[in-house]
Amino acid sequence: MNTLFNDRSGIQVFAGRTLRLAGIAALLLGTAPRSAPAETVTVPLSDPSRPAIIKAGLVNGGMTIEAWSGKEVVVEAVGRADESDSAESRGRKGTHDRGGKSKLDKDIDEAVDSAVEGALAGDRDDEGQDSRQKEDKSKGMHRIPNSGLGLSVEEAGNIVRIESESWRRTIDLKIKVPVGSSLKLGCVNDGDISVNGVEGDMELSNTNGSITVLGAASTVVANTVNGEVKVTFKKLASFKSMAFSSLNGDIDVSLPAAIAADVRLSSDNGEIYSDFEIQLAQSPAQSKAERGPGGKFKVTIGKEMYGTINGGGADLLFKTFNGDIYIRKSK
Amino acid sequence: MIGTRRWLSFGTFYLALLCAAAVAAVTHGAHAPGALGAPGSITERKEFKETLRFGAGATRRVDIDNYSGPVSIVGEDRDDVELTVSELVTADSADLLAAARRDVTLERSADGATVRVSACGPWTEHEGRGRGCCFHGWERLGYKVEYSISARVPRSVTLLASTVDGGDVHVEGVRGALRIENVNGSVSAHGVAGGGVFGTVNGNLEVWFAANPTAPSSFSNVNGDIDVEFRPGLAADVRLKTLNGEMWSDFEYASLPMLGKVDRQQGRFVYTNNHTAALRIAGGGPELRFETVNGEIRLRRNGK
Repeated sequence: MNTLFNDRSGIQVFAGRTLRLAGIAALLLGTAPRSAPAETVTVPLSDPSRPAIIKAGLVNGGMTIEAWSGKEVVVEAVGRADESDSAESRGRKGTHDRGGKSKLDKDIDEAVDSAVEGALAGDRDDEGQDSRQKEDKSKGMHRIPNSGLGLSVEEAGNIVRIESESWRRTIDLKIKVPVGSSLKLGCVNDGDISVNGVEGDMELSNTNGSITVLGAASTVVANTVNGEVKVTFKKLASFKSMAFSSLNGDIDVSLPAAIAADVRLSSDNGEIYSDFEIQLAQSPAQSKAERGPGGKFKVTIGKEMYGTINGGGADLLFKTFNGDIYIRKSK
Repeated sequence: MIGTRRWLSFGTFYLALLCAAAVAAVTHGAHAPGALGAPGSITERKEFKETLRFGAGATRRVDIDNYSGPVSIVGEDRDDVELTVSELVTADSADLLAAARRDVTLERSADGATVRVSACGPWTEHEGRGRGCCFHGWERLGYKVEYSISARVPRSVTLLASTVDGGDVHVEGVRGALRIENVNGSVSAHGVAGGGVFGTVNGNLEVWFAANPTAPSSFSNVNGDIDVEFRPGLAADVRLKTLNGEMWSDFEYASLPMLGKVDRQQGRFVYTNNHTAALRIAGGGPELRFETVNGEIRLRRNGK
């Protein structure tokens, strides 16, 4: 079902197109955001001679991690500008959102509102009265955005933990770390994880967003559900088992040419491409026979492919459900 | 279907009757000595007026510390403090009334330049006074003493005014430094100047400045709004925080970078920011802090 090609030219065409698309998207989306609340914390390490471990999680928002030559970890949290942050005045209808509507639409809205208000005026309850009084009290005032990010950063024994109230609002983190740092990062909604130049181990998890790692040099485990996983290694002296997986998205990993590994590959609805000669093996482990509940006999035939690169070594897992897998040689 | 509805409405009617009966029983029961409801079979009401004079001292200070009942202070062109107190004592029995008279007093003193009026009772922890440290509510005592305190004071005094329960704190036209506090009730301070500390826990907080604050000031609440009216031309650095509510300003402002707090505990670096918004109005000035948990915050401009 899966096809395995060693076709570099195909990959290059694909990559070129992606870059061009990305450029157009950046032009389209490149409007300046409204001023957003931001907060920066510089965290000194307990022992700057040893590598740091950065642990961060977000419910709404993305993370960008950059390696830098400094000895501290610098955390910048930026609340993504949204409707509630715009400095507005409370008019007749308070915070009612009329953005993006034509004048006619707005007129119709107002007419409908006042008609409904008139009809309801007779049996308006106390709570309604109360909220209307409140609205009247702030009539014509500037709204001050409740801009808190609830950022908290804690460092103990070179472990830096970063938390925020990203469950309440969308927050993006930009973190500068010493080159040798290790990372354990997790995102859920509305953001990508992007790591550049960091050489420690990393465990990266996303749900609705992509994961991109450039210039990795140690063990990487990257998993998302809806999004691509793209990892490039600049070197890889030794490593433990690595896994790159998604449910809906491509897996694109560039490995040093000399890497020796056992690989497991699986794409249910996609293709697998590799720069490496992968020696495929028929492994008995992928098929499973068992007697299930009710005495039914069940045989499961795995869809995973097994093989070795450069004679075999530590485990590498590449897995997606809807997407292609690209295994490239780093240049 | 209709039959069921009729039965329901009959049911509601009888339920209402039963409730009314129960309320009547409780009210009646409170008249018996030792009942566990609010104290109340014997009621004594007293009103008195007196004038307190300041002793020697540079800064005149009025300190009114009530516990149960409202406080109302008016600043005037005068040189002394005219105090009007209305006292209401309720007790379950004559013995408990005597205990109330013995244990709860309204102390008045002029100590140097400080005129002090404080409600003392089982809740106060005055050293050497032999009073209990542990107040567990009027119901346990079997009596209740409420003071409604009004005072006319010189305009420019430093004023401390507070109560805990059973009334609001209102201040009018006092232009010195202020500390105006309540717990279960509102705070309103109109025509004030200078600055100070204004706070309550359950109630609304309303402050109107006759001249903009020149000293750092704080306005705090927990369950209620904070409404502060300044004069045009306010210049201040403002910190605001509300957990459940919105924040509004009549003044134009510039946002300042948010400030967190760094703690070092046993080699541990801890940075926290409990989402306080920071603003600067007209080039900055004294720090004004606004903090509530459940309520709105409004910074108004007088004569808008």
